[in-house]
Amino acid sequence: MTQLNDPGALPASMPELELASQPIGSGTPQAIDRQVSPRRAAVRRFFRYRLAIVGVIMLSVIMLLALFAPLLTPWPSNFVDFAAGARQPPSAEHVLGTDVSARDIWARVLYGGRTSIIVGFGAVALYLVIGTLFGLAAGYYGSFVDQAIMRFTDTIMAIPPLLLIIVFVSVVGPSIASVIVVIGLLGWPVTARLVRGQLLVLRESEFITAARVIGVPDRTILLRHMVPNILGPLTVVATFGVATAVLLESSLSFLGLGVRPPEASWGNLITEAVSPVVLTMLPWQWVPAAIAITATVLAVNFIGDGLRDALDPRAAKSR
Amino acid sequence: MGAYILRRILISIPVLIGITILGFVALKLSPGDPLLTSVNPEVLANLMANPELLQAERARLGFDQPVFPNQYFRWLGNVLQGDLGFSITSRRPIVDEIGARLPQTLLLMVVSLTLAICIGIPIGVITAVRQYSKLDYGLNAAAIFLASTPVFVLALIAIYVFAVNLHWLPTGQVHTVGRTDLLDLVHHLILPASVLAIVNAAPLIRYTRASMLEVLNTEYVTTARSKGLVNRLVIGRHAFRNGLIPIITIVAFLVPEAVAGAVITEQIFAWNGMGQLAVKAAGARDPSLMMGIILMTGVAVLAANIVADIGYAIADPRVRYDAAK
Amino acid sequence: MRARLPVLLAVVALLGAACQSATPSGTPTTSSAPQSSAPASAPASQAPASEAPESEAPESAAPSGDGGETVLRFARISDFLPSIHPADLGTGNQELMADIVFSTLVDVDSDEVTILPDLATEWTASDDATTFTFNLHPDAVWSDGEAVDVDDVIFTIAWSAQNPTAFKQIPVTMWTNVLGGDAVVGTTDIPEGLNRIDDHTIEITLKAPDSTFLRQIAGAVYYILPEHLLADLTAEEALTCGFCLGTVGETIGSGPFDFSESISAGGATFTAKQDYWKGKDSEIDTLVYKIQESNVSVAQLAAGELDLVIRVPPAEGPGLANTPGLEQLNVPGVGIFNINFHNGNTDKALRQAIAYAINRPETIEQVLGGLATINYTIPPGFTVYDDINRYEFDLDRAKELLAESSWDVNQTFRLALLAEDPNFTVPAPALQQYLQDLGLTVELTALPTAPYSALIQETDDFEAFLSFGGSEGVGWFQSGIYYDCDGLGTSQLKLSDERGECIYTEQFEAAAAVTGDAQDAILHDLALDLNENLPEIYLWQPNYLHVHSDRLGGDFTIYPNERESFQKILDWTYAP
Repeated sequence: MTQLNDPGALPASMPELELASQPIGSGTPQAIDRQVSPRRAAVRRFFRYRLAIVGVIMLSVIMLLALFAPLLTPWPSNFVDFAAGARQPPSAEHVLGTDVSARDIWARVLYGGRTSIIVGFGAVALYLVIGTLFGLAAGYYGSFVDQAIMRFTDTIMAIPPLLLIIVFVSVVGPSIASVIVVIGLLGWPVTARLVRGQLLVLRESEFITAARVIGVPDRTILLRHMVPNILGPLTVVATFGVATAVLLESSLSFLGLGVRPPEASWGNLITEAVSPVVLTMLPWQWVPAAIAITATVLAVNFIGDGLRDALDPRAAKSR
Repeated sequence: MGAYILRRILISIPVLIGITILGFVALKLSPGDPLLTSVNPEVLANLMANPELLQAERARLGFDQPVFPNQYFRWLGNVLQGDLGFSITSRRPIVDEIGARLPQTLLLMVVSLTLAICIGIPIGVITAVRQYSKLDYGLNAAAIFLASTPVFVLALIAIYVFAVNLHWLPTGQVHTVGRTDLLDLVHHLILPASVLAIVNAAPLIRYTRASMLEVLNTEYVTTARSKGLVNRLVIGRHAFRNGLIPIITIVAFLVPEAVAGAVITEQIFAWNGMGQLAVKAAGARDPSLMMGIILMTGVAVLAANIVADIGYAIADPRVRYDAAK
Repeated sequence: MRARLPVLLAVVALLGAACQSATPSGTPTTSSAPQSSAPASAPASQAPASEAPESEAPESAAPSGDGGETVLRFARISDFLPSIHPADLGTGNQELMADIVFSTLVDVDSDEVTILPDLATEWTASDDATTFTFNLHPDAVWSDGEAVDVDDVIFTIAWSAQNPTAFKQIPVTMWTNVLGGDAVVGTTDIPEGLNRIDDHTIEITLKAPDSTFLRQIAGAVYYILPEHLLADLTAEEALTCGFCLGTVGETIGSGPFDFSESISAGGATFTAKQDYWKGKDSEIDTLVYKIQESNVSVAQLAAGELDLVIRVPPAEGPGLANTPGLEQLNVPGVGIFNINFHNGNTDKALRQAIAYAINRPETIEQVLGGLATINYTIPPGFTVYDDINRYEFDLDRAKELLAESSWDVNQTFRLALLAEDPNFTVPAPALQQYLQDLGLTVELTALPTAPYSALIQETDDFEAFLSFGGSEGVGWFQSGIYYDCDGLGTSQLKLSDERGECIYTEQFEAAAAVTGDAQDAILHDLALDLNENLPEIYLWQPNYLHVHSDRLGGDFTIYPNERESFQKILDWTYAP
């Protein structure tokens, strides 16, 4: 489990790490439940992990809130309510009060949630696609292409992500789209390595060699054998990736380098809090957004943990 | 061992080149006149008065040549000689700007990383040894929670509680105005370093726990136990030694941040380091400053990785031979 | 366990090593040109080998430090430009530092009207406000011991007249308006309007009458330069020379303080001169000046680490009310917040439509919490004559005007603003909403300083932009520099395009040539003209909030144009 939570960024999953952490000859063989299909067994294991269920519920609630924002508040997110005034505490008309520009905070939290969630999922979708393509290319073509792509991923992974993203966002100018693109363009290495790793394993395995000898086309092999194997780890990577992307976007917006006002995003709702007055005397301005981010990331992490246990029973033993 | 180190260094070279390309791309993509960031401001002022000289200087610097490969190699040559260009916001050389900030960042990161290790690893070990106990669940939950909270939220809460409410600690900056003594420095260091340490400790706890569990469940450990070896000895000598490997990896991964600086933490605590410099550079769209920071960070990370690889090799002799595959 | 001990040892070693490298970093070195910028934490206690005579450094910043040394720690807003030469004096922070280290011929009192002596002890003005005679103080000296005399004054004025294009920020029109100034551009000749009577007396004749001359030369950009050091300075060098960047040991001034720490992005430090030539030393021994973000300053105020902060964001006032020992001054500001139109935008109906569509009192009251003074669409500093059109909120009238204008409502109205300044970002949504109620499709573009300036100065990709600043509220004459046809480069000032001739400059000069009712009549006409035709909509003047320790006393006061407050530093006291 990882967070790119400012520094201390531990990568989402490191095949090398797992490889390195096993002493030779480890592990006791696991009993396999032969009566139930592997997929159903996985689902059952997922639900046995209580926190995962909690996570699913939390995330669903949050996403529903964001989705149905217009139904949950009469105020548009950018509407300046002159009658109420700026910096007002919570009241009947404004359940979380108004911000420094006299806009309703609850509305901005809801609509900001849309932005943050879209960025989170959008960026991950983007880098899943890019990473898979690169990983396939690396694993399939091997030798020079493989080496080139691997060095490329090493390069990107050598620079701390937040730094790299800050640099490139400031070059292209901050906006929702640029944040999605930049996080996506810089997050694909892990996916690529995963895909490549799987592909390499397949290439070594005997029955694949046999299949090829028989004449089964490569595409079928990829589809039928690789995809099912990789779907699991990829889902786990993607899930943790969403958590990371949400944190990255909120950090960027907090710094003023991501989603810019007047657009709302959870991160830029907290920017005001560096002012001592807002921090101490106007907590309703920033605490709701802070809770929103934490809850979302927590939920996604729970789900990710559950998924990982469900899809890799061996790892479940060391939980 | 020597051959192993050499191999690791050789592999790093393409990555190093990749980093320079990345930095160069960042430099070139930024809008603005490249002359502003390449020429000493004193010289530039004189040139500006004379359009012909200005044109000649542009030609001399090769800005009329194709970006790749000509401009790239020329730029690379400069960098290798220590010339990183000039910051447009302060009109001073980039190396000076970075040099002035680096010590503060190193101090903050070394202290916070050390704290993180001192907190994270023991807790990880404890939770692994006491797996499934209430202590395990409690600490684990705390770790997940802390890892899910954005660092700026943690920092703001910490400032609110310890600085504003209790007045125990200052709200930021490296020193109190006018003071330079060590005690003052430590006083100011506590809050940012602690926040960072907690943020870094959370994933460290989980990884340590996971790898310790893997090791504890292995046959040879259970064998050692059944032989009657004292538990503590077993843990200390066998499990920990083996668990050391992923820990070295993780520490090596935490080190890159040490040079980039904790961007957000430095911003909130007004800590005068590389991270704050990066944010200022981004806000001011100062291309050579950003390029300089990328370069410095990348090189430092590579160096840290090589050191980590050496650490690997020392901790686990098999690595030296496996790596040859 | 066993592995822990080496870790602990490593920690201690690393900590020790890191501390070694951290603390002495950025120690300012002397004389070599461009200084490496000292970080904000750079110890003030190390000003080694400084050539400036009595520069000592405080051991600690405790107000009543060792041996009864008085240290004033203060901060202002975070504008920064790395220079102190008049050619590049563009921010209030630079002007403030210039007032501390240099002298002008005269100063102005806190009423922004009464002229006080500085380098000149006496002065006379001819009845037609064209010829001025100044007697310089006989004991005035530079920090390096050289006497300040008429040669320095002549050099300062002549250099400005010879190199008018060197001045990138504020044009020194008082100097360039000296008789014969136009003739010496690009040469090394002295303008004929400068007449040296003797070593300490000079007679200055202007090319046209100007009753604002004395008041304006009190401004920091008109400080006197040392001829013996800068005689060979070229226009280009003025941006980068050691003296010009505020360097310890090189920046020699005749003011009450010297630099003891060079200018950096974090500020500067000053030490009081002993036996100052005015006969009175400053009671405050050291000034520590911090240039930093407002929230840092506010936090340090609350913690007692700063004694004075000029221009605290007014909204922070309530938070500081509970800190003991602090006093707050909440005053109307002299800067004006306004909407500027692209100079190609000559559609008066559109501008007036927008002026009527914005409900200024409502915004000030409800969004700004009452912390601004409304402006009635004439430059601040002008009297609000009864017949000025106040453009009171009238949405119907606004829509009529919009229909009359040539604006195509399907087009997007692009409004640019500065991203980092709450003066812009707080009211921007309100302004956008008013304009949308009017029927415009508004797109806000918030940018950091550098791209914002580039956008409005070099491109046409905007319809209007928000701007704030200046000190026009000081007096009507302060607006003059903004309506000069040669302008400062921002697009709203190319007013000559509108009429084909530079009409406002003439009117300002005409007003300066007379006084009393005659002047008022000219200003009245000028105000009506600007009220109708200026491609700017003045909105309001945001309040200034200044917070200071109650230990500051004596004649301590903050001027309406706050950056000028340090002209009276010699009369301040700081109780321990």
